[in-house]
Amino acid sequence: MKGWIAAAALAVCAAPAAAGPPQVHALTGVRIVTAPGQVVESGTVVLRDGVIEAAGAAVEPPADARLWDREGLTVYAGLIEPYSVRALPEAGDGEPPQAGHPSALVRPETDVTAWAAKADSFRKLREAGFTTAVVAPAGGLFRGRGVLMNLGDGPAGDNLLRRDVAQYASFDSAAFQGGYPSSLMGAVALFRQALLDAAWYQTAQAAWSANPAQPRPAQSTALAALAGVAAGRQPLVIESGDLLGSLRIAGLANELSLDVWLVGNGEEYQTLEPIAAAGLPHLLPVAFPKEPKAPEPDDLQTGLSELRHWDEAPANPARLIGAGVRVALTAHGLPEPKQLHPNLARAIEAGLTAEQALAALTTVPAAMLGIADRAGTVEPGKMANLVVVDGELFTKDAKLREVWIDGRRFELKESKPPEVEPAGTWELVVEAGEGQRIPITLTLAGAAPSLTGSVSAQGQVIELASAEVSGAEVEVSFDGAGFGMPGTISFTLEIAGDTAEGSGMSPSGPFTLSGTRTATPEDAS
Amino acid sequence: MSLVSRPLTCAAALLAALLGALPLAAQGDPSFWRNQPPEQPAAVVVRNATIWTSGPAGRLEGADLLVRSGRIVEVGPGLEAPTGALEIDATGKHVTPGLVDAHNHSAITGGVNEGTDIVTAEVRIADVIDSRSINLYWQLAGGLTTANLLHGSANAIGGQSAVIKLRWGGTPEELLMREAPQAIKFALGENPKQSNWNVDERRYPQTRMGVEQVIRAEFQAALDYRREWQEHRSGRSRDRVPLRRDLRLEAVVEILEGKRDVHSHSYRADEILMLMRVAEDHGFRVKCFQHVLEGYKVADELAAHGAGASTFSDWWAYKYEVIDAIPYNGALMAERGVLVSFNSDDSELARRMNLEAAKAVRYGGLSETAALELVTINPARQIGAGEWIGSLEPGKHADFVVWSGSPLSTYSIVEQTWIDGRRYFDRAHDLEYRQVVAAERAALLAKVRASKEPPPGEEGEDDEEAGAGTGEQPAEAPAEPPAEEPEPEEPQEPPAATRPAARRLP
Repeated sequence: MKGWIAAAALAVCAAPAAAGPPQVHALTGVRIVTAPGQVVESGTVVLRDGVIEAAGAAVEPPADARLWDREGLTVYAGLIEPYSVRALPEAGDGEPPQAGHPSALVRPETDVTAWAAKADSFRKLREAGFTTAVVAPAGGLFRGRGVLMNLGDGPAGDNLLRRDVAQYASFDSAAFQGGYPSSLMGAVALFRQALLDAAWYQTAQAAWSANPAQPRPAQSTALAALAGVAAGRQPLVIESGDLLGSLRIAGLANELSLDVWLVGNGEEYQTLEPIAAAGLPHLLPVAFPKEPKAPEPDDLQTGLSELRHWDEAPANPARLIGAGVRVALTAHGLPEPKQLHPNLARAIEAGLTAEQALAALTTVPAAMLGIADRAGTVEPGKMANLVVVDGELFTKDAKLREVWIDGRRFELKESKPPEVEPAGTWELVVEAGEGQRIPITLTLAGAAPSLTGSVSAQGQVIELASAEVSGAEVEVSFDGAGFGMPGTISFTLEIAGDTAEGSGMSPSGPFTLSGTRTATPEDAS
Repeated sequence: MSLVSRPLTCAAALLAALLGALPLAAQGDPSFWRNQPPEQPAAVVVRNATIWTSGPAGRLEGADLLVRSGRIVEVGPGLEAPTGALEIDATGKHVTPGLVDAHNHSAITGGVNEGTDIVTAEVRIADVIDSRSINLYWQLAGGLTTANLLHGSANAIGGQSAVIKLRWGGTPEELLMREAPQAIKFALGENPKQSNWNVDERRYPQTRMGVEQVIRAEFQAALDYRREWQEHRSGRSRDRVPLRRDLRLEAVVEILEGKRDVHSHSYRADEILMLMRVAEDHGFRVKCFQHVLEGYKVADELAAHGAGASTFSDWWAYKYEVIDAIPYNGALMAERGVLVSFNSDDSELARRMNLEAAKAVRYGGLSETAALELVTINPARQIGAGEWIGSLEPGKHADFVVWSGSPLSTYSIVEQTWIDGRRYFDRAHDLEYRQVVAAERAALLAKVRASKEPPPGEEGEDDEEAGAGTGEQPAEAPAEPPAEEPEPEEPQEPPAATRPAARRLP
């Protein structure tokens, strides 16, 4: 594991400045949506060392900036995804954590930071214009703590903005594992008891600390992790599942004095009044029901409630915001994050304004997440997180051209029809600077555009997170943890027959690579 | 069929034009779950009906019922109504109290049983009321106005029950009948001892002896818990580690303190006697035995203990422990002074509780009014709500039903159902509104078809799974909720919505 990445790390440490692209950029001639509803028709945005230095009509690009002519395009603040759910890397382990909660559904001490960075997920979020996201753990009743990250490549530590932004929970029965609870009411009872226990735990530990001459209460990492939630200091994000779930959770929030954010369900419009009265902020998916089957005029198979919901669901975001609910939108629940834009176009058609949509993806989540001073608008002093669009965001034909994250540019390539079939075994040599040359083997299986496979080096084999073909290129990414380097390693190879060359990025820095195909799937069979 | 297909082309066109403008197309559809509550007229007077009061006044011919602000003011002939009162001419019709079901599992979401541990006193039906269940509307259409939603019978001490009024359109919280006392479900016999379950890992207990000991042990644990708290509260030392609250034991303590009524699933005479002894040993009385199919064998003991008996009219022979059940059970117990009701235990049966009552005339010869009381005042008293509902008497909630004829006749149908002086079901309005619903439906189908016009060169994509609708039933119609029992074959069931309708196994 250690070999080539360790070498790369050394190389980067030796010459940190030489590796990266220029650190000062100016986007010129660009239409700037500085904040929801505020537009500069033509101006310049200057980015310096990951921070917005200036933005406006009268801004002159500084002499040391690399110039990017963006005439005809529009720049917005990078979008913020408040709820990107990530499964535990090794689910179903079964062994309860020591000093944890006896129920396997109560794992609030889980910290998603260690596996939050994931190349293909980050790439897909970037393709939808997101530059920042909360990554939240999946599975269970109390699921654990989320982490707020920028969506760049490179070391996870560079992207990490804040750990422990919130605790995450769900009453989804899919997580039930046999044993208690087996019912929703059992899950609610466990939820209630766990939070009472967490509040008790604080006073019990404090009392024992002050007076150790009494039986020592047991330590619990789980109850300790719930302290902030139980005291109403830390947000608890709960998946509502359906409308009854929203109402149920609102009741629990009131009963237990919790600071709850609801993950919405799309049915809120059906009973706005009690939901607005509860006043819980929403992370609202922009997922709408599938179109009912093509019905005959006398069709009786399609339920009226299904028809009504299909018809009215796109109005849900507008209705909920109109009722005064604080709403941050999320791509959660969509097959691909970029589906956000056509779906928002439908929501806008049904009454949402583009300003409301933009606010619900920038300023509102920034405020909820406590980063309004550094994210959410295109203003001096904020993180250089931008999305550049040909056309308008939230339209059916919006063309997202690039995002900037911490002042680094990510071109959003539209994937082209595959021109190559790269399946087979590739012997490649990685050059990571200072003459380091590390041989690796890349094995790809399947057919374009999406393949599977693995990469091996010095005896370690790691499965690929993704391998996508676009034109004559294949873009590969995988988790570097197996090579002792948590974070994403990705590279792009240009394929010409049986030879390939390209470049990539690891948590330690950039590298190049080249080589040949030594076997094809036909050879194997 | 002909009802919905014929004259509606015009209405469909009109509605299509309106669809864009209406804030909520479903508004006004009586079968849509989320409507504003029906208005509460300041005064209502029902004129010239046969009124079954289920109270001391008995059955009155040619009588009037006067309601103000949701409460009954007077029942009797020739009542003077305030000006502006809503008048309902009920000549030739019958009026009864809203029916009460002492044992109902409709409108519960996410599982009726927390069937894992043998004691789950901490779980609450009130947390999982499905106010969207179309069962509520259908049961309203059968004259039901109050239901005791009970936990299932998978464990000796099940969960906390919830009394709801069928305030269709309300949120779960709005359905709760706040006046009713807190209660909890117990279960005895084959279900808690897992006789008919195929389980990988057996659970203690596996015998009736064990069921009794589980209950006694839990009461002892609750007494210990209460004593610890009493000692803790009286202690004054600083920085003492506080006691942990245990919601399971707290609920059991409430039973012992008389703050939580026990409703116990039971069949056999021996287990009925057993639970009465256990209760008496702990200084409380079982509020009501449910099913209690051998109750006729111990009717005197039930009466002496003061327990109610909520039984079936004529279900038996569905498992071994019910082989001695007889349809005369209700009448026999009533004759010996037991407070008896008939319950549904079933979402479909709960739509025609009046006919269950009628069977007590056929089997056992109860008077017609006494028979109706099996589904009105008696179950109301069993759930501790007799002070407010169950009979048509001054001061009580204006929960009443207007029938086309005698409520004990199979030919009679419900014309109107009122709760709290609000008309929640009106058959005439429902029939009329079906045309509007059909028009709305046609307009929506047309809209779906229009949106499917495939762009040139592209096939409209179809999803096989979509469109698994609920037929003509208009509103949210989840799969029939499971009957009370855990499916014996498969105790760990998938959520109700994903499985076929459960076998009826009371």
